[in-house]
Amino acid sequence: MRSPGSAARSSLEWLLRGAVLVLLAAYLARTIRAQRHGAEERATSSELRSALARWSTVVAPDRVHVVLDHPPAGLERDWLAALPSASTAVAWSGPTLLPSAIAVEPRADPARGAEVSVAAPAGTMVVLRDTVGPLDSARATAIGVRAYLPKPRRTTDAVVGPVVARGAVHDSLSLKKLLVLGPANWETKFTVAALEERGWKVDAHIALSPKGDVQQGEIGAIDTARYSAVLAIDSSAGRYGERIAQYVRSGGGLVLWSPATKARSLAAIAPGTAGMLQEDEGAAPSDTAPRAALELTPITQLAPDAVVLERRGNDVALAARRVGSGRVIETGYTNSWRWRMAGAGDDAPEQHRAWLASLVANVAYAGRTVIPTPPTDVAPLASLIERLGPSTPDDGQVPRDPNAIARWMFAMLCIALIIEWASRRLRGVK
Amino acid sequence: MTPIERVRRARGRLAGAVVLSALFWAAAAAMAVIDLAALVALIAPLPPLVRAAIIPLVILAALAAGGAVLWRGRAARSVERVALWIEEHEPSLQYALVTAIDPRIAPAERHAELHRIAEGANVEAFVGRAWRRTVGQAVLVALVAAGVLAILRPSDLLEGAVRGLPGLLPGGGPPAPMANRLADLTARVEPPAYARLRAETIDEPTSVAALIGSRVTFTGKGPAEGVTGDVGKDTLQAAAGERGWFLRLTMPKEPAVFAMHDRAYKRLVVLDPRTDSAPTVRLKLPLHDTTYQTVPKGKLVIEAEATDDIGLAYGYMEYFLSSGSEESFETKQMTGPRVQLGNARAATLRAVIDFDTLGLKPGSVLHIRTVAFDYNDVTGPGKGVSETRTLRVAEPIDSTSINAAPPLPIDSMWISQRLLNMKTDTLIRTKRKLKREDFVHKSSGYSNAQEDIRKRALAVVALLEDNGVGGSFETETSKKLREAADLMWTAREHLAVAEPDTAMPYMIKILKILDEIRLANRYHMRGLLAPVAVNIERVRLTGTEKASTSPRNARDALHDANAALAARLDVAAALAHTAPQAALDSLTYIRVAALTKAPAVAAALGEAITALQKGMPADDALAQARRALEPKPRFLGGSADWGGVMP
Amino acid sequence: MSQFVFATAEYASGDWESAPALPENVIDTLAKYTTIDVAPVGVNVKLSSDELFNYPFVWMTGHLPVRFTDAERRNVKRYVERGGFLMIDDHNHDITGVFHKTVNEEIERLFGKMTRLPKDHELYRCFFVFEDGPPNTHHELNGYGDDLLHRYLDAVLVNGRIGLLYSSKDYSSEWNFHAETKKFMQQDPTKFAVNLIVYALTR
Repeated sequence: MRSPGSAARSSLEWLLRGAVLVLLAAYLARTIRAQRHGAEERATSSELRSALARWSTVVAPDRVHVVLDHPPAGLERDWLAALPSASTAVAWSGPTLLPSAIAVEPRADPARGAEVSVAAPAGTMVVLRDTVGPLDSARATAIGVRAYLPKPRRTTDAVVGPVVARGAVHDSLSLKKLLVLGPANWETKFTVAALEERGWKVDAHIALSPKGDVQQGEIGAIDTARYSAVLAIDSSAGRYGERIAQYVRSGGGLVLWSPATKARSLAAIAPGTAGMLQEDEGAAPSDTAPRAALELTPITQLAPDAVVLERRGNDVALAARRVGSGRVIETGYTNSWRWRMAGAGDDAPEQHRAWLASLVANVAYAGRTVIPTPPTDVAPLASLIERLGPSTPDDGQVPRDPNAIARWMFAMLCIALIIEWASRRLRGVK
Repeated sequence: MTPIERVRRARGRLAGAVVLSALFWAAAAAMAVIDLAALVALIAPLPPLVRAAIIPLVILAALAAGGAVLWRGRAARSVERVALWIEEHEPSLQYALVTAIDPRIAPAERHAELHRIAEGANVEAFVGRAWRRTVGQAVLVALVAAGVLAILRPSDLLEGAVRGLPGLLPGGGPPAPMANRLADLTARVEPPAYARLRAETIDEPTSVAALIGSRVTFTGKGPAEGVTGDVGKDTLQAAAGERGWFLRLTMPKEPAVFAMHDRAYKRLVVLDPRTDSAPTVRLKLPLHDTTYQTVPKGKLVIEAEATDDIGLAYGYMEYFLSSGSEESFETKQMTGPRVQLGNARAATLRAVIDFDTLGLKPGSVLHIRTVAFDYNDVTGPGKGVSETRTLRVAEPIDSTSINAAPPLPIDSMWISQRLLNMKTDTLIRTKRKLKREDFVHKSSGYSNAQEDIRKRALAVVALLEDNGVGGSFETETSKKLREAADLMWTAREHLAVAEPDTAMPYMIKILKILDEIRLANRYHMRGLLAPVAVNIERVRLTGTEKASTSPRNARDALHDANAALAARLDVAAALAHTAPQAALDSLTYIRVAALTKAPAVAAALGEAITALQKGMPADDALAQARRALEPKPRFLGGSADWGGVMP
Repeated sequence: MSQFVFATAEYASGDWESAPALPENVIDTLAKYTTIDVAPVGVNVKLSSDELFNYPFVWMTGHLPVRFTDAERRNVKRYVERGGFLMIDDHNHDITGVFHKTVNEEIERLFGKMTRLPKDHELYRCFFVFEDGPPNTHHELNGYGDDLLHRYLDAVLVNGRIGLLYSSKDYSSEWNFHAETKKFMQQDPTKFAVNLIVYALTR
């Protein structure tokens, strides 16, 4: 006759056997259910690649939620976007992701620089970098961050928090000549010199004497096929006034020194007219604010559509305007040559060249040719929203690890079997 | 045949099998070692040491294998052990053979029986099988090893192994011909003798910085034959020295790469010449330029301070004495005695000049400066020159102070007279509008002003006619000025009686005379070159001569010296990961080009080169060098309303 | 500052003021032949001062040895490299004279050897045409100086443009006359000055 202890152990063994069977059944059911319609699952940025593989091969969850701390790469983003086609709803959230976008545009300048515009929330720190490494950083203003890159590389990144927007120059510009019209004075001389040193090809008409003016190049038709921009330094450019106006309306660019607006035909397309000359005091243009030391013929009586680009005190120093298809920029700095000659910094001539080149680049007409570019991601967050829809708040209800239960079940099953086996063997039963 | 004879025969055959198989196994082991080395060499080149160790390993393997077989078959030497082996293989003998061959234990009465039983066994058959099995296995293994050897054909490996063998021998012998003789390099820099600096030794140099003209000796191990060095277009042959080979050159004036070659091996070292700076000389006394109002007398102390980075040789004072005027100038150049400065780094030069001996006279100009030389006999001597002090002796006419002089009396007189004429003219034209008493009052006032000018004119006349020793003489100017003063008197009189119309012709004449004097007597007053205004509006475009402008020719775009360096650097940087040695060579040459053009780039490249040589990543240093070669990005501001980019 | 202002260089050593009437004669001729907005009076500007850079054309002359101070040397180098036009005329017209020797020493120290301008250089054609290169002066063979006719001018070129022009022709004497004298002259001797200024302003 069996002892009560032995009977209890036998009962326990039966119980354990039953439990094992139940666990096996549950495991089977769970597997079948997962294969039919997967559970709701969740992953973070670091788990995303493996989770995507799992969702596409092992289970097919009804719904997945991805918590992102940086926008997924193109492959992962496309993969996520493809999941709804396999009946898996995709939701995402990224509380730390900041919207940003980058545009890299070639500058109409023989120096072949590029202008980078980065859109980012005001106040955020934007780090620019290229294939070599970090370039510089700046805090975004209401209009983001804009920078001039003298030597753009294949791609340029704007890093805003965890978001990296990658851009590249997509166009190659074909630049024409410039036409400089002005009197024989230092401003004309150094303007032509600076632009030529920068790499521009220049035609020029320099008014000198009734006995003859100084010309460079054959000035025939003024059109966008010949000239990227016209620079009028004083009213002597008025002799070409009507042709210049027509050129600008058809898409050409014009840089006006404010005294040039005394020519009636140029005044009609100018952003404003010339005010009273404020002579400089002969001080050397400083490194930090070089134009403050220059003489100024302020731009007054602004056209309604004129945009003020720079002021000195209350006076308008730079203004711009669109005329027809073209653009006009007017400068009130009438002796910018002093920046080059008398500028305090060693690189004053280069800074002066760069400034003049940027005036021209603002208005210059240039033909564009699309060039092959490396893969870019100009607006990662926008692309993500475009592919996956807007983010949804993370409710946290989806189990973090769907396999955790399975692992627990397996562990319990093993323990039950071991106890049952041990109990039997200790009783001497095989 | 007796049992003992049969056993002895079997022993002979078995011993032969052992020896034969030992030989085959030794051969197989030797070939296996070669096979293994050849297989490894197929995957990665063997280090010279391993190569050299192949032959000893082959021998060791052969001896080990052969020895092991012999050791295992050592039983074949003993007749008893062979007999037992036979018994083991022929149980039916029931130890009859063992007993039969040992007379100590075999009973004589049972000899015949034992011999009969022993003869019944077919010993030759299984001895023969054992022989074939033992030898056959060894032959088979040896054949396999030989087959692999035939496939791999490691003749180069074996040649290298044989060549490398002497290197393993105790005492070294000659350096391994295949070893890189540029691997263990030192550079000894001996500055030029004049510098009196110590020689220094640099181990494993990548760059040698030294004074131009320094003697640089590169030393390495091994024979000199075949080791060369290129610098520019020159090729140097290494010579044998105490330690091995050496190459000696003189530090050039411009940075260069010294490329050393040993067969396929190459090593580059940057030669970074340092220029011996010329002495710096500062004139301490006299401290400022001076103008003496009278011819100076007495002595003048001159003192200068000279410094040099290496050492000063000698110095002296230099004088220029000029005198004369207009087209006729005389200049004398004089130098003071040489003062030896004894290779000091700083020294003071003093001299005293006696004005009385110089022959100074009014209008003389004396320039003083100090010159110092260093000991540089290679590129120099370096010459340092102080700034020049100018001592002038004023001319008589130049009686006013050089600094802060008052306006010329005649000029100011002319201006006053011109103003008075204008006022008088206005008075005449407005006569009808004025009350009589106002008119008279104003005219009277102008009379006083005219009198003031007259007095000033007379004062200048007195000044001009003063001969300085109490007498007087008339000059052309004083004569004219006196004439003007007389006219002023007349004009004053007419103005005093309210007759400006009558005074005006005199006043016009006065102004003309003053103008003539002013222009005719343009005194040369330093700092007081009174400018004369041209009436631009009056003369504008009145020129009648022919002119024809020529077209302007375009300027060339500025050459960016850094652009070429940047392009080369990009190519070299791209190689850094795939072909570090090629990148290293390129970077060395780029660094030489950058040493003078872009020192910051050269410094960053130096770091990159060192990193690459150590097998470390050079990305950061290369990025730094690239950034140093290109203009910095610039953040732009401006209005968002304008689609362009703000300047 | 938009006007062309004729500037005479003041330097610490030597007699920089030795041609006082020259500016007005040059200004007069410039106004007579061109529409250049020219200031009616010239200025004197110290080579050692920052003010130098406000006058991209500067005339320098003298008879005496020239030893630039460090500040003058620094400024002259920067001035020429930035695009200024420094005209140096030997008032001694004497290539063995001290002005010539010392100025050339200073120029060579700053810029290296000067380039000889060919007679067909655009300087001689940019307004008036001088087929034979630099016009001769009446002073060159007056018995003083080296008593030679100097056929060429030398220059420091910066990016192909004249930055410093050196003359042994003594234009300082030739053009240093009373303004009223000009009306009695058959030919205006200062015409070459127009070429200098037109070149400086347009090239």
